[in-house]
Amino acid sequence: MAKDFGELALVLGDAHVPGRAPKIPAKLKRMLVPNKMQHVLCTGNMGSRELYDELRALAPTQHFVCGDDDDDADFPEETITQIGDVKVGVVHGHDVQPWGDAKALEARRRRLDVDVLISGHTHRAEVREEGDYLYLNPGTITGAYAPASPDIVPSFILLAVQGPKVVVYLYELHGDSVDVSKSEFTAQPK
Amino acid sequence: MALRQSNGAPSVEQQPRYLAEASRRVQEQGFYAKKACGARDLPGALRHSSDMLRELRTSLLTPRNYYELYMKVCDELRHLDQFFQQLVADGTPAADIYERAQACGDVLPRLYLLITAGAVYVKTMQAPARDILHDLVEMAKGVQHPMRGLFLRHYLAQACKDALPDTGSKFEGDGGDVSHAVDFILRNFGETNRLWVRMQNQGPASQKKRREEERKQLKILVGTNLVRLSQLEGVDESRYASDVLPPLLEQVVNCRDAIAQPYLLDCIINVFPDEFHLATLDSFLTCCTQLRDKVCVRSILEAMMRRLANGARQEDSEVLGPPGAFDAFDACASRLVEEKKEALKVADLIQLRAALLEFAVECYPGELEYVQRCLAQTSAAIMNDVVGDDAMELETLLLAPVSSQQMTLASLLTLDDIAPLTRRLPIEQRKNVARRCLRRVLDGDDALDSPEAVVKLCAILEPLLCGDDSSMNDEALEKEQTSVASLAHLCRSESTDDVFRVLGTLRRALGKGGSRRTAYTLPALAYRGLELARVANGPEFSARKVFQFVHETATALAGVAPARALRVFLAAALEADAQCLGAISYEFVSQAFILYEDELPDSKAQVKALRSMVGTLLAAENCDAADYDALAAKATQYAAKLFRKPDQCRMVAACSHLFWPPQRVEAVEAPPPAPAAEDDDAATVEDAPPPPPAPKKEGRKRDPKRVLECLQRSLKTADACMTSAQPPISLFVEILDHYLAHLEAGNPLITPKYIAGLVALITEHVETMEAGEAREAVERHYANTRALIKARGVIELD
Amino acid sequence: MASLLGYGKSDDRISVTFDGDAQRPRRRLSPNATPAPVFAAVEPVTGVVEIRVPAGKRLEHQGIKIECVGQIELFHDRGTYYDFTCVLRELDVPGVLMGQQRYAFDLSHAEKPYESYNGLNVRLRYFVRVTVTRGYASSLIKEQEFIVQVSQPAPETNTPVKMEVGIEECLHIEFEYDKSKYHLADVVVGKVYFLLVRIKIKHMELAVIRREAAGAGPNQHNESETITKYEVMDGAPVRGECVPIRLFLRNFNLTPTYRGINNKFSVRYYLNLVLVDQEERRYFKQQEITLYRAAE
Repeated sequence: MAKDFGELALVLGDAHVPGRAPKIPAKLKRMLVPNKMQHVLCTGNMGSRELYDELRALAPTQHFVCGDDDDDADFPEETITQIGDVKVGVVHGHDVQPWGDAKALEARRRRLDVDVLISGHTHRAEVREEGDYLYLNPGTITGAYAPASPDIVPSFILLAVQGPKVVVYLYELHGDSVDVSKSEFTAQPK
Repeated sequence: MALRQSNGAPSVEQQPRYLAEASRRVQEQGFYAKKACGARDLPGALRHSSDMLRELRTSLLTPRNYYELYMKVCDELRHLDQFFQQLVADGTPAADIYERAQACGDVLPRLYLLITAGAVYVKTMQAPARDILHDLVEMAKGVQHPMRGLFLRHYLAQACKDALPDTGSKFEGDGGDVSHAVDFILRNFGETNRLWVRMQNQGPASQKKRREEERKQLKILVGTNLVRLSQLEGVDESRYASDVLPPLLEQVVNCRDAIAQPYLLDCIINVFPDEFHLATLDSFLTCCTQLRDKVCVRSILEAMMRRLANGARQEDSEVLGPPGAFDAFDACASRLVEEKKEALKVADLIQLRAALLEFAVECYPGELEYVQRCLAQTSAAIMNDVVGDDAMELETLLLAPVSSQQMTLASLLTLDDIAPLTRRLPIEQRKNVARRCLRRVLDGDDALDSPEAVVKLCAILEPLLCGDDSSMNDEALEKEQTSVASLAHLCRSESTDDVFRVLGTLRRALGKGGSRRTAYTLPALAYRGLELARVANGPEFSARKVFQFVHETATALAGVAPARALRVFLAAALEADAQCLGAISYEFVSQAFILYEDELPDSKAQVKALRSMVGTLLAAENCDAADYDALAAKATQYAAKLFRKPDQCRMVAACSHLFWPPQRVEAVEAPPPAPAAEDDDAATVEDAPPPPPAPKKEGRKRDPKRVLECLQRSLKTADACMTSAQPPISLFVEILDHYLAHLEAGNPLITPKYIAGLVALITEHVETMEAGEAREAVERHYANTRALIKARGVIELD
Repeated sequence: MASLLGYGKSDDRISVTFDGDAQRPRRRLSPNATPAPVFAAVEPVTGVVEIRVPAGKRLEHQGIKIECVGQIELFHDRGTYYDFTCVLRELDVPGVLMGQQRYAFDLSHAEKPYESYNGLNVRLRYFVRVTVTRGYASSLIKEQEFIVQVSQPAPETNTPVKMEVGIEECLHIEFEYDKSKYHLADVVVGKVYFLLVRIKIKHMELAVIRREAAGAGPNQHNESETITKYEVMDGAPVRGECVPIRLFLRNFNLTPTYRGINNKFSVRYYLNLVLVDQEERRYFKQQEITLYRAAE
């Protein structure tokens, strides 16, 4: 399976357990199977040590960043990693002012010099390609509350990276059904 | 012929020698016997076989070694069996062989030969099977020595297993019917069991333990008979109920043996099918009340219940348990408790109830009454706090219902005895029960929808909710309280008033937990409150009331985890802002700012908090212009006062955006509708500071000048950093990005002139940087920014 | 068997052939004896005597006779024979024999009331004796033994043997044999109930004992012989056990019970039930049974 899809990376964050949500919904949790993926990219704010430990068990390499709610965790503010031919940056996003602003994210991407910028914090999943670059937001895997944001759905992203090619699967839980949307992106050679 | 030892047990050291010698003789005589068979010499075959069989008269071997010898003999006897069959096939009447086999003067070899001949006799059908079988089983009484008899009867069972007049067998009809087959096996079983029981009383009392051990090694010889019974085609449910089980149970009761009773009942449970058990449950259970005191009746009942439960599960029926079975077990348990009060220890008693309870939980998921009954009976039986084994058993008992998958929250809360029973346990076990209960409730995900439910649940969870937590390390505590806090998310109902009541009740229960616990639980309550505030529409509790609850909760949290509380306040502020509750929103932000000033432990926390504050302000679209100005100014002041210069530099630059907030499209056209009773805002929030200036419904204003001031201040700070050992050139590029952002956003004061100046400065600085990772990172960042400048044609680049 | 007195010496010039000899069953009474023809009590003893005189010789005699003798011999009363039957027939008047001479004989008047028997102290035998009396020399004598068996009808009453025996506070059993009278190929079927067992029994056996009484008065000799020991139980039973017995009599060389044969001897049979405990002490009870010869 790994060969067919290239390298698989799970992208998720903002679980906020137990502050804003009790647990990862069973339907999504079932999909987080150990040893299927090579990377876990986490935008932070998982809430509990237990959840981070569970993530560590999912894949050999993990890239966690520190969310605004991660008081005790010793994670970096941002992290850059190479998957296939793609350079991926991960930040939490609470320090991107205004939150979720496309221009601000673009500035951050420039600074990190990455092909793919992953950020969270808004609890709204996003897959956006702009000017040869990919902006991803896995949303919140638990559907955690965010102020002034009604209708939040639990979501996460799975990346399949082969060379410069990235296939993005966005999983969203609407009611009882998991919707998957797929999009593709190719990193431009430098 | 082997010597017989006059008394006492076989010597252990000599065992290998005895066995080897006996085996050799068996082999030798077996060889001659086989030879005689080959020569069609019946007297010779019988004589040598007798000599071989005499080895089995030994008293020198332990059961294990005797078994080995026995197996060797059985192997040899197969030749004799074949020879007999051949003789009959060639015309010798089977009756003759049967008689000749009885000439041997020693009873043990004679009976082995008789059985061998008898089996052939039956198979030739020259006599009715029932007569021969009856004769064999009777004659075998000649061996009263327990161990030798056990093996002889085992041989009988084995030799005749294919010679029974079972339904459908060829021996049926003239040979008898299945009742004769049953009778034969039952008799043999009865005798076997008696011999087995008798082993217990042989030899000196000092060797009791060893004898028990030896008996246990031999039990399979007894159980074989029950297996045979269960294999009879003709034994159906009604025959089992009328002809098979009653004599078996009679034997069990009458043997009065504490080893045999549980073993035999266990065999019965295992070898016969479920429907037989169901049809006869009452007699079985009656038997269970008549056992020796030493027998662990509980485990027998347990085994039967488990058996029925498994069967029920496989059938996948709606109600898993057979109707009436629980009542039967319950009655049996009660009778046992009644009759054996003296013999039963508390632990036994609890175990008994626990078994029953587990059965109820597994097989009768709908029948809460069963569970309640078990718990009530347990409650009645336990007068004091329990420790040790008793506690362990009680814990097991309590875990059955509280961790059952089928147990819904509502069902769990009808079990009124759980909480008082839990309190009988030592604290660690209490906690364990509470934890498992909590896990079940969380996994079940049923709504906590009434204050009463919360009170009941919290009574069970009490050891997790309050009390001394000094012995727990942080990690364990976090794990535990993470679960506890998750309860907040179960507070759900159609009626937002109900949710509010439930939350309040939970808040009161969790509030007693002390600072370490509430650091985890209060945020959950507060956020759940904010979610509720968004939808609150009850006649009794409005959004304001809910915000007040959040305010109280966050204030309580502030004393415990200020940074967390600060974020709650900010989230509350945004939520209120979204609902255009300006005053409330302002109050929440103010609280956050107060916490920022007074409570944060270090500069790192300050930076983090400040980012959240700036982000919140930017997101608060409905904020009153005047309030906004004040707060933005305050935040910028905080930024400028940060401890580390690079932090100052970055945060001040970030604050520049506060003065160019995103504009709401509709804010320009029509101000949001003013919420009712705006003036009462302050009064609804406790400890509120003086009310903010009367709100004017005006959108947030942009201030190009303040933007420029921030950027320039940031630049100045960056410049001041240049004296440090590793000048942070990256800061300049970051500031350049902010300039560009504002330029693009249309700030008239930010002109390309500034960009050009910065570009020149950075280009110069970068060239002075030492080669290395830091420089490369800056160069890449700078190159990206330059590419943008170029793409947008902001200024001419070299 | 040759007599010390020359009496009963067999001369091979004389031979005796009973009628129907070829079909007649033969038996031996003692292990070393030559098998002898068997007669029933009522069967006539008839046959042919043949005297061969070697060619060219002549045998002068004072007369030829044949006797049928039934004789009891008591070993301890040596030399004493009691003939309870003796029937004599003249075969020829004095004369001269040459070549081969045959005489048919009929001794059907001879009574044969008893069975042939070869015991420890007594023997009962039947034979025919041919005597050729010579004037100048000792007589030529030929004895030919035969065996008599007396069949009896099945007894009209045949009650089981039942008995309760014991040692107080120690052992108490009840045993039962299905009959008191058995024919020689019969089976003893019985059982032993253990009513009380306080001794450590090791095993139990059933012995068949023959008791022979020979002679009378002060000269009577009693001798017991255990014909067989048949183990019927291994190990120690507990109270309430019932152990079956089955003994095939045909496997042993038994005779019928003889009571006061010609007032000279008796042979009786007993079943002896023996219990042996772990100290090798023996507890037993003997019970007489009657054996009889059933008609074939």
